[in-house]
Amino acid sequence: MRKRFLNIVVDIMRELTLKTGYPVPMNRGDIYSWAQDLDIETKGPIALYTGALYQIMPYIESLVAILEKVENNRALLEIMNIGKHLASSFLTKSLLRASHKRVKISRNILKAIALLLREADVNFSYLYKDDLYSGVLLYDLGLSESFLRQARKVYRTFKDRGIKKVITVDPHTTYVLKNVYPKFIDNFDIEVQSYLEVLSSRIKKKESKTKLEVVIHDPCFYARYQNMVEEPRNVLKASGIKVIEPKRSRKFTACCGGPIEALYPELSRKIAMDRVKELSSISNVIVTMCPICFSNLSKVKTKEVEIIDLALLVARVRGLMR
Amino acid sequence: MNNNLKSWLKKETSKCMFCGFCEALCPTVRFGSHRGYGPRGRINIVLYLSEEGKYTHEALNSLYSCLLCAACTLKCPANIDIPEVIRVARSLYARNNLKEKEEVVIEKEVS
Repeated sequence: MRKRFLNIVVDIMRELTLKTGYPVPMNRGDIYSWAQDLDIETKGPIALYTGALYQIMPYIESLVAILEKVENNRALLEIMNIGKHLASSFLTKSLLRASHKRVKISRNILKAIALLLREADVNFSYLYKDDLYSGVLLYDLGLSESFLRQARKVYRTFKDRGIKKVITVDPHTTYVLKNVYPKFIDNFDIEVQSYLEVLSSRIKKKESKTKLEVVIHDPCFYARYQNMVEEPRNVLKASGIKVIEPKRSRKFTACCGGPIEALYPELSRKIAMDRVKELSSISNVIVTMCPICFSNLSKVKTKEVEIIDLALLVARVRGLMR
Repeated sequence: MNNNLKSWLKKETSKCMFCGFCEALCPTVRFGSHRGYGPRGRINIVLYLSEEGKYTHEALNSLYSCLLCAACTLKCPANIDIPEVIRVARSLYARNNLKEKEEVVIEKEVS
């Protein structure tokens, strides 16, 4: 049973990525709708590349809600297996709806990132419909061949558009572009920098009137894989936000449980609860900087606790967004 | 078939001295039903798999329940690249069971 569940779920994600470009059924327009009224250039050597992870997560949440029910139900599981062949059809799309509220949060986070970069006088273009998914999930699941196909597609798009440098927005996409693409693609010559690295050195200091105290949750893929712990703290501090460290912090941070949410929904939930308990014992405002952490911790939080993405919080404090 | 990956896995996992320091940092071992949900268990299951062991249900649970969070690597005295071992073991399973064909990527993965 477990084996079958695992094989089917992994297979669905692979097939969808290869067919539609994304690991869950979704509209292409949802990827770049956040940029609608920002008037970002379409051409330029430095491009903002979201890798679509922020946009995908609301759909993954809906998928996990279904998987939680299917995990122990053989008949439903087999139906899903058949359903994957209809991935791009109307049926699957209408079954797997992301909550409107959740989609809006992701949009606002990306908007906040763009506005923060703009405020720091960073020149950048945006890829719009060429803002493809990086394939990071396929890589993590050991689907190297499928991952390679996706990675080549992404690289070709960068090249076709004359891009020399990309600014990434989440830890997983940043890691896979910086550390994995060069291993898989010969002569990979795109410079990669996370928006936090860019902002860390360029953001202007601003005193805030509100004395905001937040607890920080480091994502594994920034803190451990890329040794990036000071950058997010610099950005928060430059905006007058007081950062409190939890017991497990910086490179000793504790995982949110998110990476296994599709394959082990129950286990993933327990890990998230444990982490939220630890963080909320320090402050009621938890700051994340990864769409997977945001998603998984939000799923188990209590009403009194607020979980907010770093970019959105900073943009609000600096008066760039409401 | 897949000999490069297998021999790399065997070499890497053979470094394990069973100390279990890694388990204190692993988020999954506390909630799993057995030690296969922790890094020490995972490494030794991969060692067994690299020696033609069977991919049982529990061996697969052990492999795929890993978060790749890399907390374990902070305390491993043998310096085993634990998340990479897990990922490569998954890719070996995928090649034989999940319609993934082996391609040119094999060399690149373990370098």
